[in-house]
Amino acid sequence: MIEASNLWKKFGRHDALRGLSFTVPEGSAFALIGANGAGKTTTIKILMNIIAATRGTAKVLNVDSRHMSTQELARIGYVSENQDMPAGLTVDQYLNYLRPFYPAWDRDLEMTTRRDLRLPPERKIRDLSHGMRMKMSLACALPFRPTLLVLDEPFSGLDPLVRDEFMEGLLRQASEMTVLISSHELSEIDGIATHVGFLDEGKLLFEESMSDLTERFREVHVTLEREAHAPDQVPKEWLHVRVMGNVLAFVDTRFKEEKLGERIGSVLKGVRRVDTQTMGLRSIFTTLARATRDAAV
Amino acid sequence: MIWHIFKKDVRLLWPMVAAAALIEWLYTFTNYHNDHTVSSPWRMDTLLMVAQILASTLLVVSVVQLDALPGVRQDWLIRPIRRRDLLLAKLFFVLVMVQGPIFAADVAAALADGFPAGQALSTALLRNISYFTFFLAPTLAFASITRGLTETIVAVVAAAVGFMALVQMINIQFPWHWRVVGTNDVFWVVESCVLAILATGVAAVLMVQYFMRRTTAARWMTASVSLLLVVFNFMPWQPVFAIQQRLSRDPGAASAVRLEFQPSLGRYREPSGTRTFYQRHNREEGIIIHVPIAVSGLPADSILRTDLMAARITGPDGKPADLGFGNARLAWSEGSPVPGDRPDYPLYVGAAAFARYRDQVSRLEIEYSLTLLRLSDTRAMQAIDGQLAMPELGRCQTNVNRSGTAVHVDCLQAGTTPPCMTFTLENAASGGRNPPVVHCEGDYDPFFMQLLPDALKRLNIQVFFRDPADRFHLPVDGPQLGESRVVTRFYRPEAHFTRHVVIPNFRLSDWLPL
Repeated sequence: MIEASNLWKKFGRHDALRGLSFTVPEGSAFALIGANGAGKTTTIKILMNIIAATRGTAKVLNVDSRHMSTQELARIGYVSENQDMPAGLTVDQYLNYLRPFYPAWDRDLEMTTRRDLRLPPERKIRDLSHGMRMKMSLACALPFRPTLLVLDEPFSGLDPLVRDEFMEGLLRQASEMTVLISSHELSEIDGIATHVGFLDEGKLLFEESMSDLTERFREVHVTLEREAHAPDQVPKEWLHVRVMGNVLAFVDTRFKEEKLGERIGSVLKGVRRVDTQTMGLRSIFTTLARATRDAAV
Repeated sequence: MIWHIFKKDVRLLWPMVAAAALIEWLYTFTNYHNDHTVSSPWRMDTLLMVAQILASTLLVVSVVQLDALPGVRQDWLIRPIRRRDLLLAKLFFVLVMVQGPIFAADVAAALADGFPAGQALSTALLRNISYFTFFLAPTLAFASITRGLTETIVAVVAAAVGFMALVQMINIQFPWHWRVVGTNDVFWVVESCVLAILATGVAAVLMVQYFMRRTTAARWMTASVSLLLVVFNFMPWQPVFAIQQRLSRDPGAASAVRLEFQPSLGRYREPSGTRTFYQRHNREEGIIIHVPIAVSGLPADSILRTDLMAARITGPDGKPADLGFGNARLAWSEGSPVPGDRPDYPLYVGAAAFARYRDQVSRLEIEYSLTLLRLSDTRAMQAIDGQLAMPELGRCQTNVNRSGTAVHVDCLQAGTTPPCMTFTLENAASGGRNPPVVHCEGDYDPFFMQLLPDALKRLNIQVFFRDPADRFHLPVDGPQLGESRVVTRFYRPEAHFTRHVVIPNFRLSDWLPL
């Protein structure tokens, strides 16, 4: 559905993207995660042909993103917090305006989405709150049943109630399309994403399926017979190593249950007990982000 | 989808459209009122003209920036909207909502002034083509490379300052140029070149922006085109006049015309009590000398105009140097010379050059660029309260001025006017005939090209029949006006040509005016 190949983007002297490559499989929900300034929005803008890459190519719906025609754009829904809709039009007027541009626009779906998102039809876009605008943006992206839905920081600044409404609107159709989402709200993504790409300073550190990712990350607590000390040689797959009394805790990024005991035994002596815990996307992200930051320091 | 986008823009901007149209119609009404009221003309016209220009500008900028091209946040960028449709929708809006009321007001004004529908429509159309090409389309292109109104205003101010600085620099480098070409009747050639460059530049910028969305490239392109426009505004005289020469109606008509240095004509005597503009205002810039030149071989009923005289001097050291220029719009009409007038024209000599060559016997060469105009038609109307519709000048009327010294001839034309004409007070009964008033201020342009104030051309001539100071008396005087006519003779350019006069021994100081 999306294939980015060696994307580079320079803003002045700053490299916002540095050879980014990734693939979004058809039917997947691909979450692009990373710290502020990692290049998520830049990547999405290149994919949407809003800005041009300095180098590299991207294919969206099997077409070079620089040459996307109205036919391709009519199959892509785009929701972003940085989206300026015509402020002087009302919700109704803008939906009426957009309708003819999309051959697949479904009036019933539009009505359902509007009702569920509780958008005031006569209110001007300029008078909508931030949350309402995000819902408006979603209401403009769903009624034509897009093949690809691109969401750029869709949850940013939304209160929990609006976020729930937004999510409900999104989830209703998520199974029918491929979704590319960039967000800091990892707890929300956790429920949607099937694939994850981790972006750091314009580089993709990894991309893999959500199941593989949660499978290989474990929070490990090793209880020792006496007071614990951080080992001199920490295995590189162990991140965020800390000592709490006689407990040594770390995140294992290459977790395999059958080999964990042996690996711990080779590093630590006097192991009394080993506890493992699955990790959510948020914990994985913060562990990786911290590790990257520490490595940079 | 063009109509669909257009409707959206109208929905968003209709209050501005209504305001701009109202200003335009108020402005047109004010002009109409002023044209038809001698006693108390409304003085709002200039203010309304500025307001109308600002309103048009604001409207064009606003409609373009509803779907702005620079930037990354606009919603339309991710919609299946054809760029071609968007551009055409914006052009359609400008033509219908901005230009439409202006065109309608122009037509209505011409109709209200009594011009036939065909003439009113065609004149309004030509004026609106000029207005669109010179003003609205460039504004549209400019708006397409800016993000918002503030950015546009800042860019316009910066561009205006840059433009003025550049013009000033060129003026310093070539101090005479603007007076030579910029105020000349062949300036339409420059205007046409500028128009062609402008139209090409606007098209290129719009294509680059709407089809490629390359704002930086489009901005560079805009800067380059602006620079080119400034440069072309300062086109040298020779190619400009060469183009005009090629367009001569009858190039052979002037073959017998000769110009010769005639010292016996003596030094030029200024009319007492008067001083020329340049002596009054630009004393430090130059000295005026009058070279006595005799003209022969003029056909009957013709006017010879000096479009430019360029003088070159070679001093005793043998080094030639540009001396100065002259482009006074004085006309010399064979058979009906104005008393006291003579066919020589002021030559503006730079102060430094004058100081250097003042008393040196030098070789003077003068290149004259000339236009021969022949009588094409004659019309006559009553000197008092006369009314006449003339194809050349439109609808004209006469009345005597308040001080009782001159007949006012006021004309309103929808379309072009002849470049030269004379107005003479004649009394058929007494055979009296006053010296003609020569009016040569039109361009040689073959087509109607007018931006402001509207589609109508206005002509206001004073034909004196009494000297306000009562120093002399004219044959047709006040008491005879009732049975007198103002005879208007129209002259058509036949040939544009050059003549070269060489004066081997010439001393500048000999030909200062008395």
